[in-house]
Amino acid sequence: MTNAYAQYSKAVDSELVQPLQNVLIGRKLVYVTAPKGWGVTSVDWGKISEMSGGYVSYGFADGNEDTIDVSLINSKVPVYWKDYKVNRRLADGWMLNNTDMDVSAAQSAGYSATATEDAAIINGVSRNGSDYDINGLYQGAGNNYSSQTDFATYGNAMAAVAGAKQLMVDDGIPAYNIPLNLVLSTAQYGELEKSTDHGFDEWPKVLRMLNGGSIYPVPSTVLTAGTGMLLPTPSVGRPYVDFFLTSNFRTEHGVDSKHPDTSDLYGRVYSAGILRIKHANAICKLSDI
Amino acid sequence: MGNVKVRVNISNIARGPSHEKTVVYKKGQEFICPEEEAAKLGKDVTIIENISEPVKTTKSR
Repeated sequence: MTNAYAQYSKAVDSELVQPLQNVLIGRKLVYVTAPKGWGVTSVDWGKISEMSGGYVSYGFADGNEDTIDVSLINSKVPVYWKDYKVNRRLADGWMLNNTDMDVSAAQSAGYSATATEDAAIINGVSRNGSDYDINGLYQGAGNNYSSQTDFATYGNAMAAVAGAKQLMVDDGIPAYNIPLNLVLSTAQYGELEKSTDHGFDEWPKVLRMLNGGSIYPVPSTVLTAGTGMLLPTPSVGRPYVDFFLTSNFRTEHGVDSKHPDTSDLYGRVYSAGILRIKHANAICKLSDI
Repeated sequence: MGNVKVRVNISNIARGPSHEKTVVYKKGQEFICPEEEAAKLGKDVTIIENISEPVKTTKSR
């Protein structure tokens, strides 16, 4: 029977992973490593430390070396998961006849797990909502553009993006030359979408400022209304931040041993990985938009 | 609510009532702001001093 459930899980996986990847926003914002294996429970990694300025001279002199990464960090890899039940007769029907599979329960659970992973990447992992065990992109940002720039007013989105880029460039992040992604809470995304002045839309102008990057909406449950952030796209952002993936979304199924023939099928969808912010100054949050 | 003196913990904080008047505060710099703003800035700043509002005094006759 174990084989039959494993086969069922595999079939659910094939129908589940692609739709989930379509709704995952967190993984679109950062470089995602290849899955390292479910057994990996922690990871050692190093932060890029701030260095002193370079030198110009007519010869080389000793004693000017900076130490790269003075502090090695060890992070535990969290698991993002959700349990669900599948009607036994439907599951058996699929196993017997390969009839159309009902993956709605798994999909619904998958979306819940996805939302948890997204929140961990975008905001962070918190038990009480204020102290973060693991910083996400927003909580771990090294720059903060906190000027009042209400996106409902035309021009303010451009002002915020320009201000954020300036802060990043001052820290040595080539924000004027690399593609950037703008992540906004849904309310601000909506305000930017409809922001117009005498027929001139603000959206394309902001998009042009992103050097080929995109604008992503994030639910206010993940990113508080009135906030957003600017960061390099995954194609150029790998040196600054990545998502260390240990297990991509997978499912497992089993039955209650008290009723092995008739009990519902119990399922679990899970993934595991951790966000590693190597250079926080490459992320600028917009905290009053 | 009164004002507080805070120290910047992250690389930069750009603050001001509008873009035109934005001032950038570098890591380690200190500035005075309303308590609400300090709360909004969260762990990006550390409150180092509470600046109480001046106490009104009455002249004795």
